[in-house]
Amino acid sequence: MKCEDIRNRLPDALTGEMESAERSSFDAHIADCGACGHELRRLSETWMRLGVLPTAQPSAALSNRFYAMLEAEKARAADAPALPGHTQRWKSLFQGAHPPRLAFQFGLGFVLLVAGIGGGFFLGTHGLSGGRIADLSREVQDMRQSMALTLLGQSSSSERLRGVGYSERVGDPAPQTIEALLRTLDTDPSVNVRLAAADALYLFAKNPAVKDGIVRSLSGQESPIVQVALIDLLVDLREKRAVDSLRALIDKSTLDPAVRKQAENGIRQLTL
Amino acid sequence: MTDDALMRAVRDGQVEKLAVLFERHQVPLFNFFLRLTGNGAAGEDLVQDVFTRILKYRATYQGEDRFQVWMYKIARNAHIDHLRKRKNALPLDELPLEPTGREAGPEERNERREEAELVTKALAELSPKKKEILMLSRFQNLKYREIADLLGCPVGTVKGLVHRTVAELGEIIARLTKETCRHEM
Repeated sequence: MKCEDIRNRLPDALTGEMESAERSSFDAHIADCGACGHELRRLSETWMRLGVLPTAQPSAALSNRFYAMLEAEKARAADAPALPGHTQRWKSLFQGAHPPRLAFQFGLGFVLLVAGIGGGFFLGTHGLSGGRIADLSREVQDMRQSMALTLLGQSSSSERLRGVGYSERVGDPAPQTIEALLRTLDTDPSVNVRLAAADALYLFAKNPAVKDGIVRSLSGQESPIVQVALIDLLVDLREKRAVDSLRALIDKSTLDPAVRKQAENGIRQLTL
Repeated sequence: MTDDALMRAVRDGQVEKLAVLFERHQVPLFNFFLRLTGNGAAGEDLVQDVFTRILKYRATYQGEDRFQVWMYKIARNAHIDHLRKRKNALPLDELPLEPTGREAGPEERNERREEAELVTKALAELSPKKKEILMLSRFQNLKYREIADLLGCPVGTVKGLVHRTVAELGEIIARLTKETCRHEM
């Protein structure tokens, strides 16, 4: 390699983006050439000094704003699928209007108008109070939880995936929903369902039972994909109690090398 | 589950999965913006803006790029829009620079903190483009090829710019160190 080639590769040396074959000829040149060696040391020193910048943590307000936005979007998404059905029904009612049906349609319009005025008067006098709205919201949550529990018990993996999906839409899941998700994570025969359960549990990580369950589950998992997903999850959650489980995992002689690397990396991040 | 798989799930209707991506990326993204703008509140607004845009444009996610590259494309656009809005208010170079650590207080300052302040001050002297490319290559875990894709330029240009920027930053740090020493004498 000539000096010019080496200068072009200096940025790669900073980030470590270099093949091992290239690396050896690069290192050999740096060892022999004073000017290139000096330039590499000069750049490396500044590059390393950037590491002194602390990693700042955003305030809790950012999380609050994000989750408020997500909730609003979830509510919109939950409402959206119903629209085509309704629209279709109204469309089919009015589609192909021709004279013989018009009288019926005007009649129906009049009935709806009266019903609307009556309904408005009823709501005006009785009103849907905040309490009633809260009750309705609770009912929806309860319905989602029972759907989740029912579907998680099905023999079809696609049904169980749907069950996980329902559980994710529960704002504040009951202990039995959390237990069902943890059981799915531990014992479900399908890797995809176990991964989906892990993602769902991540959403409820504020619940102490969830973190405990995930740490426990890691030692029992055999699938490398699930193991890596759980390691990532525990690192994301900054769950320091996972360090012992990760060490125990590394000690397993049959452990997949990629999982071992991820576990070692996880320990480093959790013990920083 | 990988970022890419999560984003595909978000695109296909499981918007709640965005929470996982938010938890994974909010801190690096916040630090990216904090170092670019030197302002914590603006950094948080920009992170929120990025995730709002991800939701808004989720249908356009094709998974051709690594999720992180796609996200930083959105982040760059959010930052450019932020600069446009701020342009009439205050030039970028004159923006007040917040300390990057939250626990300010002269008595708590140690050598490492002084060093961090020096580097932060030096970074503020770089042009926005150089600062951005340095942040992307040094802190955001993006490869030069991916940065080239992000910026829409050849990979050689990115490497050349990184080389020149690191060299320039080293010179600024050396100058600021000398100035500080003269000040203290």
